[in-house]
Amino acid sequence: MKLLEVDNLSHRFMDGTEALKKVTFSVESGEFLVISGKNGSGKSVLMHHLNGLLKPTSGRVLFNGQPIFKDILSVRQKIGLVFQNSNSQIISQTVEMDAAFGPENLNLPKAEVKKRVDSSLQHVGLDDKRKHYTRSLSGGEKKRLAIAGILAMEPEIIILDEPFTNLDLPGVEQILEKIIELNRKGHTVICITHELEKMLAHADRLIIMNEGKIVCDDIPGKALISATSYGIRIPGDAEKEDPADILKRMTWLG
Amino acid sequence: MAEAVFFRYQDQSSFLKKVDPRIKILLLLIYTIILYHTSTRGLILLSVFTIFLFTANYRIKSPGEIKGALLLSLFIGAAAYLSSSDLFFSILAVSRFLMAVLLGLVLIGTTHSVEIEKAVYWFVKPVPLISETEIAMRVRLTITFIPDIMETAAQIKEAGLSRCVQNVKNPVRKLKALIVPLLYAIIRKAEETALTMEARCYSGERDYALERFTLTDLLHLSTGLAVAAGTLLV
Repeated sequence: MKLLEVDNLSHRFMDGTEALKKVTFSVESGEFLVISGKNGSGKSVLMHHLNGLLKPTSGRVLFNGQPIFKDILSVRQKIGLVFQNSNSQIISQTVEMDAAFGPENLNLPKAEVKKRVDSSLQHVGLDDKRKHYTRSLSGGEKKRLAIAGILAMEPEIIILDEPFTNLDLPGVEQILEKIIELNRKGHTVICITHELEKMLAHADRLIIMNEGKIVCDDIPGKALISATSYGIRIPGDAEKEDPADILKRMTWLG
Repeated sequence: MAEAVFFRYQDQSSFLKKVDPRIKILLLLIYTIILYHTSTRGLILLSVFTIFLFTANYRIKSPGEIKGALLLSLFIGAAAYLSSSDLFFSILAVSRFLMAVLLGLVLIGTTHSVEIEKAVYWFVKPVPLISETEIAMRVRLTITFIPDIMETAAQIKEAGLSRCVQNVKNPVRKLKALIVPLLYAIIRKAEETALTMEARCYSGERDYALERFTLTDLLHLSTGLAVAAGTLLV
């Protein structure tokens, strides 16, 4: 079932820069999609469109067959966005208060907010730090809190923008485990990253973007053959080695 | 780095955390006004009370944390002395400023920014022509992000020092090297935060209800007002 459809989406900034050029793709329910590309390829602009944070110059985004701007608040609840910089996403002083921000915006009853906060913090393993000051968390914990804040809104799709930025090995492992677990539990996951070597082995599909266009959309084993020609590093030479072998190495999980 | 930032909410439990935020804000305003209108004896009494509240509720993790406030109070003292040539007057000016800072820290250290947001909403709601939701959220964000801004300023300063900004003779140029990137960072942070809030369905329509006042709250308020009256009467 097509959960999310992007139809001929174009975006031109005020200065004339074309960030997206007729981008078209769809996402199936339960899929683990990775969108990659070098800096300035339009990945982050696309992410903002998927949550209705930008209005397209032309084209449209559909969620469950309906244009997202028809009921944008409901769509934002269903399509959760985890931003690259967790520090900007965390706007409360304690862990539990921050996880409650989204459900409170949905004006849910207090008991329901508490239930969702408890469940989301448990899910990301921050239950024991619920009273902690958010600034005292490590980089990996802040990222997990950002994910908890989104989970508390009970989304169907979780979009993560560069989830491994500024994280050390244990941090990457923690976040990657959570992403895989979320996908296994039925969430549709879209991961926007240029660090394919850390997680591509777990994905169902890879989209490569270049200069605002989709230049490749395939299963990871096939798509990574063209990755290097678009400025994305892969751990091996896809021309000399079997791409399936390279793909197996593309994870930071032991 | 994050541990040594001034103006932060305190993790440890405290009696003041149980006091209604509206009462804390009201008493803070009253005490700050009294600081500038009471006699020297009243100031001493209020200072003792403030220092007691501060030491019981706020933990300074490193001396560097209060360096800025101490430097600013020295500047205020020097300015007061230059304008009046009265040492006693300048000592009083410094004390008043320091006590106001400590009272602010007690409020910030013991009150979650969400509670302050709700209390500000409660105070501003009866005022016409003002968006109470906007003001309340802005106060919350300011309180939450002040430590971030201070940390960013410290990082920019360090980056400048690593590129020998200390050798620049012109103080305006020196200040520009700090202020311009800091403003840029603050604006960028504000933009990012606004986007993340929008993505989490923020529209201003939230539950701002605070608990109803109880007898315990009235007792807290009366005790606070009794201290205020005491400082005015001595």
